Amino acid sequence: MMRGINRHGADAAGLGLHTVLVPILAACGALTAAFSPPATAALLVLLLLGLCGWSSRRLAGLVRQSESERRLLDEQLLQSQKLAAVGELSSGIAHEINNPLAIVSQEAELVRTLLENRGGLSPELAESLHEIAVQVDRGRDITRRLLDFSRKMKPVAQFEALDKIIEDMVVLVEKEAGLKEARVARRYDRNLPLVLIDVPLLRQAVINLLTNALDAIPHGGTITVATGSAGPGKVCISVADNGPGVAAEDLPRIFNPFFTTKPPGKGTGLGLSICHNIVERMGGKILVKSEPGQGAVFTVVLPVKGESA
Amino acid sequence: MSERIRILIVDDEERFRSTLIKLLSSRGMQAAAAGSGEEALELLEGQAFDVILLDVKMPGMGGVKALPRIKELRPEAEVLVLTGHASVDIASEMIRNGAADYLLKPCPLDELLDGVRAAFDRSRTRKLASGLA
Repeated sequence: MMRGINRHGADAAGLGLHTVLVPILAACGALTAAFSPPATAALLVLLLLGLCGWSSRRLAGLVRQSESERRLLDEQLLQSQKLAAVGELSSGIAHEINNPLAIVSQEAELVRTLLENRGGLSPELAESLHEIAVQVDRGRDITRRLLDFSRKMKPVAQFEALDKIIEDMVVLVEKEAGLKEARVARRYDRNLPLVLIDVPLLRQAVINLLTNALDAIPHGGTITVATGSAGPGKVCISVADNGPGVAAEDLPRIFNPFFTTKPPGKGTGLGLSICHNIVERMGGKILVKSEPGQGAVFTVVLPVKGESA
Repeated sequence: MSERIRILIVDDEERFRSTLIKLLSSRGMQAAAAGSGEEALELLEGQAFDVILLDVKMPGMGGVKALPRIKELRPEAEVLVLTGHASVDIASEMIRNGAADYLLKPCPLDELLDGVRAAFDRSRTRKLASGLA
């Protein structure tokens, strides 16, 4: 999953070998063969053929690999541009929706006040007015999340132990998990360096991943939370569940705002997109791997030394 | 607590203003409304209020521009920003410019009333302290 990170140095060395060293060797070999006895020449030619064949196969491999890495980067860039655009749009929508929501909630309050002044509210009416308030709250929750999603605050970084941040959130989610007969397994790498990170932001991202995992196993299961190194200067957090997994056609859309597979009213489809947004803002990456029936693994790769690393 | 709280609602949504006036009046407060920053300033020239509920985005003069002028005209009044526009930048700018709080629409009536009463208490204390009351 972490292909394409820190490989460019190796690629450059490989290119030098194939474009400079091998042609020089081939030329020298051909010259030597020209002035050698036929048996030695034949052997040399066979050797050179082998060398050139190997080299061209390696070159073709490198080209293919860099092509697929470029495509991966393009996709990631497209995804973040798309999310940025949707972020702008959604914050605009959230602001606009808050005004009518405020009016709806006030009208309900007014109806309640008027009816109470006129000698009372039947239980049915009271219940109905209460439901209006509940649904306004629901709308309000969605607009708040949308605004969180598009907020452009600069992260405020401090040095903190990754497993400490994660453990705080795991403990929170574990209470809820207990009710569903789900358990959380920890695989923390205790040798990780402290990371320079915006703690509240990372907490938000981690809790979103944990709730997402918990929602994937409504009838119980295991969530595995792990930390580890992800190459020089990078650490990773992974949250895995053993739920039903994500359908292949849903994978490319999983970080899109409002994309959800949950029934109406159960999920806003914003949790993972907020998570994606936060991780990007911290200079990291978030990846998902899932096979139907095999659960899902979300991996967050973060720079140890904050955003600019 | 026999003193009636005088509230000015500054908001461009007509229905929001009229219903809020009714709700606040039914709770014993004395409410008036303005549809923009200009209208609010005009009203404030001739009338004093204890608490001002100020929206941010309005046609004409918005809340950000109106706030310093309101505070200049009526420094004793407490201004609560009440808006659907949740921006940390705008909120911190308005608090810096003298707003007492930043409430987000839709704000449950109880929360709004708590905010208004707390603002009123502060404004009264301030008036007492400066010997105006």
